Amino acid sequence: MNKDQVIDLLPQFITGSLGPEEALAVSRALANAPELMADLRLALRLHDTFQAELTAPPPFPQALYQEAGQRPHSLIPSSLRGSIKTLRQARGITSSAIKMALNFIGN
Amino acid sequence: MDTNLRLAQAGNPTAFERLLSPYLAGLYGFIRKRVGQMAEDVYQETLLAAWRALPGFKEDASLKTWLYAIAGYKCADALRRQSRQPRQEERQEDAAVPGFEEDSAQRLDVKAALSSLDQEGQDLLYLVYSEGFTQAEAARILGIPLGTIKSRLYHLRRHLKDRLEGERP
Repeated sequence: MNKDQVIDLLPQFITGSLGPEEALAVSRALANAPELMADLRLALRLHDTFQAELTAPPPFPQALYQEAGQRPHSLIPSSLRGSIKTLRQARGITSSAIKMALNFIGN
Repeated sequence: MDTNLRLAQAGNPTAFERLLSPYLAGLYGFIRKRVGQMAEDVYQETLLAAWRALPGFKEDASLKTWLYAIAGYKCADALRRQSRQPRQEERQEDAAVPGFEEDSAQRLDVKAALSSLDQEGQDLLYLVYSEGFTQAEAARILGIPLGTIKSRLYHLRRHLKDRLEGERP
């Protein structure tokens, strides 16, 4: 692998999208050619700067679900759905316990 | 064949969302870089267009490259539409995009160097260095011949190294 090929593969090397054999070849080439370190530094700085600019994307288009004839997604994030279910179950248990306590007192 | 891809091609939008989820942040970053404040609309248009075109998608192609190529077309469309809008709206689109408030000094140096490049150069660097696309894939997404991409990348790298490190290859 010559230096130009290594430089061309650096973006895929740092994003982890090279196969193991190519990644190993790039690592060896970098170890044997210190002059490529400037290219590696540039690749890492560009990657870091672009990644720092990324923001959360907007929600998936609901029109797509409507087009597919399905009910649109719940507005509640999936990460909270489990918590809400747990709260509902807890509310059910609490109200049952109160009813039992009232019955006990009443008796 | 990927289960989500098979289900999505059969018309399941949840599978489609799962299939694309690893690419959405990077895709939105690409669109935002190209079209600024029109990004949200173009992002939605891109996903709808991808959904409609999905039955024709062949698995031997890269889904990520295919998706970004659609985004590239949609961005170009939006920029053409914008060029026909009154001047006041153009100025609104030029407004700064938030997201750089807490940049380190090093990132600010890189950002300053990037801002000295034309838009196409910045898009190319984003696709290659942020998203890890090969030069051939970036050529397909931007609709530019591979030879031009190779030459542009060579000159862009040299320019950035000169600015950031004072080095020459």
